[in-house]
Amino acid sequence: MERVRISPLQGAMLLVTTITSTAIILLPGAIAGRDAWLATLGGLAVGLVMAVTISFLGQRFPGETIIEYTEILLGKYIGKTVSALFLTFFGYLAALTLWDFGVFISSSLLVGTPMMAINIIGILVATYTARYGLEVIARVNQIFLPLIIISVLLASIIVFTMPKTSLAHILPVLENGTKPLLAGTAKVADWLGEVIVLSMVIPFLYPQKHSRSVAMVSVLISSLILLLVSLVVVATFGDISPTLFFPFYSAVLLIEISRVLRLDVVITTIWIIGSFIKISFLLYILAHGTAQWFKLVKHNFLIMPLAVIILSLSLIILKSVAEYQSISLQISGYLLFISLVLPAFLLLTAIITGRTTGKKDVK
Amino acid sequence: MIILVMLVFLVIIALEVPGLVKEKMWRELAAFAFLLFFGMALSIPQVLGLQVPSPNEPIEMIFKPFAEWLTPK
Repeated sequence: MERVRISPLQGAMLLVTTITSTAIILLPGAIAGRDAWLATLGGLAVGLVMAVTISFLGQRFPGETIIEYTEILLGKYIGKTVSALFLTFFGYLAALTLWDFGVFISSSLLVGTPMMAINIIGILVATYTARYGLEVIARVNQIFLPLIIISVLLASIIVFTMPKTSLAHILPVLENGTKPLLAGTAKVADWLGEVIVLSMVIPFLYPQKHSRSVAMVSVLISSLILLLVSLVVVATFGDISPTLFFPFYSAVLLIEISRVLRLDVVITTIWIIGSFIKISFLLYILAHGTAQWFKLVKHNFLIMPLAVIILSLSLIILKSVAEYQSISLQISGYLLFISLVLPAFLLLTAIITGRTTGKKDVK
Repeated sequence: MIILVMLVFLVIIALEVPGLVKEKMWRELAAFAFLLFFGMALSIPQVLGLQVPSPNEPIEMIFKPFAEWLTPK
């Protein structure tokens, strides 16, 4: 494989973009209504557990990705099956992100444009970037993530200063019992579970000893951003926020500073940049993982066939926003199973069998 | 439409295969072919207007109890 190195800062920034870019728009906690902020905190707790699991595994196998050490831990046949589950997870996530991208653009900006056209453009740009490798994606992201964070902060502050927005809307707490809160926690946790992509990046981190702080810090920052956004949404809409598909976007649409309207363009920009980086990153990881699964020496040539697969999947994965809302908890269950249950199981196996590839030098 | 899709596949093959053949990477070529056929199997039926099952169907079935447990009655 080629020599690729990214710094811990770049790694953490990539993770934050991966988690927050779609989460800001779809706002997973919103399903909990007024308790969205509590759900975000609950999700943070689960997310930290996942981050610790992934980084412990990374410390035991510093030179290997999750695809490789699953095979070391579970043997050839079971290991291959389980690592195939991880690969399908990355592919599924990429397809879902592309679908989100298409749905948002075709329902907010380019109304009436077929989703296929938007998705094709999205995947073309992502394929182009992914072929240049991880370092390029990481550096592009280093430029764009600060912009994303600054515009989210600015938009949030402006929404908070509007006369109808009030933090009193977060009361009463737990008005519908704990079930909505649990559902919200599961949804936030499934987004934070995307920290599992770190397990594919740890071998490239240099210096590597910071991998645990990378995982924890990125989960923490992502949850803080989500917490802010969910407070904004609840303070603006109160308990109707679960019915909105793009709650933060709807909140920003309300902004009106004297003659300045339609600041939603800012949010759309965040969305386009964030999704583009996320899809390229996932595509790169998917190609890299697939190459390791087949034990190949290169992976660049796999990116285009994989892009075709992701594009076709993104067009059939969900028929409508309504379908997404009706099965979003099932999807959460699947994402949590892969990002929480499987790594925990792997870590347990590693501890019991005592397998480790030890202190190997970073490739 | 179908011609366009086939053209896309031909372009991908034309861009990647010569390099792989030149370096005699047969294992890589096999993996490439496998993924490309998978992509064809997913995309061509869609272009022809056939129903392709969504990957969400098994997920929906397996994780239904989980979702029901979290849904308030």
